[in-house]
Amino acid sequence: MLILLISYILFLVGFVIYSFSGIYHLWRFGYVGDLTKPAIFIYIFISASVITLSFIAISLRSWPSGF
Amino acid sequence: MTIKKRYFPTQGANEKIFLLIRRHWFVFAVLAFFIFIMILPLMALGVYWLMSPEVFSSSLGNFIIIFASIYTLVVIALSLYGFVNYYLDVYIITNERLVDIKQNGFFHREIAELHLRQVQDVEARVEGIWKTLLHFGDVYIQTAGERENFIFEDVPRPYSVAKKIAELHQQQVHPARRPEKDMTSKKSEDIILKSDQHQDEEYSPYVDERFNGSSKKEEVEDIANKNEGYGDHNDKISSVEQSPDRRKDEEEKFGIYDKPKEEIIFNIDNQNDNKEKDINKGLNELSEGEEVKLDEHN
Repeated sequence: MLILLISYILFLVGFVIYSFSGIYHLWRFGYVGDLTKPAIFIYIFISASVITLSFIAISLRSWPSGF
Repeated sequence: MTIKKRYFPTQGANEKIFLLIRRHWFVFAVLAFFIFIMILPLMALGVYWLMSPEVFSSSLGNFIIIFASIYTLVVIALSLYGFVNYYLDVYIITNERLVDIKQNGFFHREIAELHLRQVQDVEARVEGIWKTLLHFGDVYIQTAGERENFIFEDVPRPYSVAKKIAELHQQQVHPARRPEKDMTSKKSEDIILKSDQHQDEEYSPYVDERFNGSSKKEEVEDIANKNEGYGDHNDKISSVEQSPDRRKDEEEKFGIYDKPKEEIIFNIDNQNDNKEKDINKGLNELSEGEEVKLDEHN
């Protein structure tokens, strides 16, 4: 089952890179007073919440050491 | 309303932005609906977990946790992609040009510009039940020459946008407004300004065409071009009046001075109404001077 965890971590790495790209565009091309900044905040908050909850759920369970 | 901040790379120091338009919120609502549909299985899974927690106690539970986390993050990532695509697409109307900024994905951004002088025709289209009910549609801007036409897609209140573009085009092509004192000068009012509602109109070839009452637009525009630099059509007309020979030539060419004044006024009124009918169609609900909001989401 470790392969699942490794896959998930690799996915998270890609997700973070992807998120940086999107956030960069919103930050770079957004205008003062528009919705880009709130959208960035909401996106980071929801993503971080999901990732944190998933790690909490993973840590509360027993994982077989084999692949 | 004008904004002094630079909104696109080539914006001039004195270039004023009159409208900054994004696509109608309904376009994003469609995307949000699909995102909501994608979230539904997650919600069902959560409910099932609460009702039958023993199912998730096995190794299957580990797999479901990982899968659900990845699925949730994919949905969030798609939401970000959709939002960037939607929100960074911006149409800007300045006092000099039209700017179309298109964001396709994260790494494809296009900025197209069209000078107001190159605008030949502006057309607003509202097609379909949703667009009709929610007052949004497309604005087609025909350009001079071989340039690709500009299309403002799914903009809120397209008739108002088209009207604004037409007004700015007129100001750009004919920046010198007719001075107030000339409006009421005896020389000009005898010929043109018999109706009070036309006293605020700018000089333009189109006005000439109405005044002429004929379909010879090229000839009329030729006269208009000759008048450029003098700043005032009335001056030119009055100078024609002072020169009997030239006036006679003009009479033979256009045959306008022999018409009764009432008939001339009739032509002005009718053609003015017909020309502006397309632009003003559907604007009954708009109050005078109202502009499209900068941000329809707010």
